[in-house]
Amino acid sequence: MADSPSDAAQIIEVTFNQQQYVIIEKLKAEGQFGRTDEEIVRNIFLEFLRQGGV
Amino acid sequence: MLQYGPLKADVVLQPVSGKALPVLRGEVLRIIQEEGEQCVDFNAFNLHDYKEYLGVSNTRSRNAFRVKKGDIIWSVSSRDRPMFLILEIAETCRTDLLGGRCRASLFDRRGYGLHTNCQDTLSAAIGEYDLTPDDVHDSLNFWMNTEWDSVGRYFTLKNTGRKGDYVDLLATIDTLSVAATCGSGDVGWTSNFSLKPIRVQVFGASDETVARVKEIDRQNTGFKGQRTPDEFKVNKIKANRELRRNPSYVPEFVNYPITNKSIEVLLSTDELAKTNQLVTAGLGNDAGEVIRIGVILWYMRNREPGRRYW
Repeated sequence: MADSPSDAAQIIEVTFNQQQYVIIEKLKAEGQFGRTDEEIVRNIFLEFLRQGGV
Repeated sequence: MLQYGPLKADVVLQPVSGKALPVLRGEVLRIIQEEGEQCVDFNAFNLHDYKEYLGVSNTRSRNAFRVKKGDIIWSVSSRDRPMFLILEIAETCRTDLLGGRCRASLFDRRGYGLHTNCQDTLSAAIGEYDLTPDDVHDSLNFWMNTEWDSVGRYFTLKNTGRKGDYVDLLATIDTLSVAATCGSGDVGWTSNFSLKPIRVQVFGASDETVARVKEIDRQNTGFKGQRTPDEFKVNKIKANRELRRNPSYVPEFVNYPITNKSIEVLLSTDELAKTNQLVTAGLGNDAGEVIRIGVILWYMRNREPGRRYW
């Protein structure tokens, strides 16, 4: 599942407050979208884009 | 339809009056149109703790601007528990969670002098249990055909209630339930320019109603914030009316202070371009904000239980 950027990559800083971070912890516990904060945020965001975004 | 227990109470409320009746957990309150076209204001309290009462705004935010069959009626947000389940409701019963209740000054201002009104009717009814006019709360209104428009104007249309129509409310806690014939309806469409009686009945609990209550408990209780007074930092009911500052009081705000954690995310050129398109579309002010919002929206759509509007 974990995608990696294939071409020139750019680092984006994303902030979550402690209440929003609960989501990251839950998804980490699920294991489906990665094991680190970075993997979870990246892969969930890409899923969001695949599902059509807004 | 569930099998109810035996009839325990049967009261006709002549215009304009109200009655406070205990309706215990598992029992069913039935409100009936005796003649039709009569608006009914409804208040309810936890029978063992009057500070927990029917939360109109909580019920509205959890359901919709109107409640319908199958919806739960909730107590105030400080307790946040189911109080009733709407078991049955006539098709012609428009419900209203916006109008609050009518009060005397509205009519005096219109030139009617002292006129019947729900604030005073409900006050008179709950006085039987030593509750005061200040304890009357915004009503859940049955057979109140109100509408609103795109700029927020709120108005009343013709009452659609028919003789024999009824609403059945299953109590999920022990309640003091208060129905009142709305006193505004003789000078407006609320009750089509005349005041009529309503009938209120209470049916005892049955195995089926108790089983339904337990199912509601299982699905809707046990969440954070569904507190009892034992859990309140300040839990004594004030015995005097004057407000005075407590200099030793230290508030405990939830999750205070709010802190942030930064996570670095690697995006390809193509992924960043798609992200920036969402910035342009207004989803967020920059790529980092769009990613955060996207992650939370994904969670809301894919993981939050019971979420209906995303």
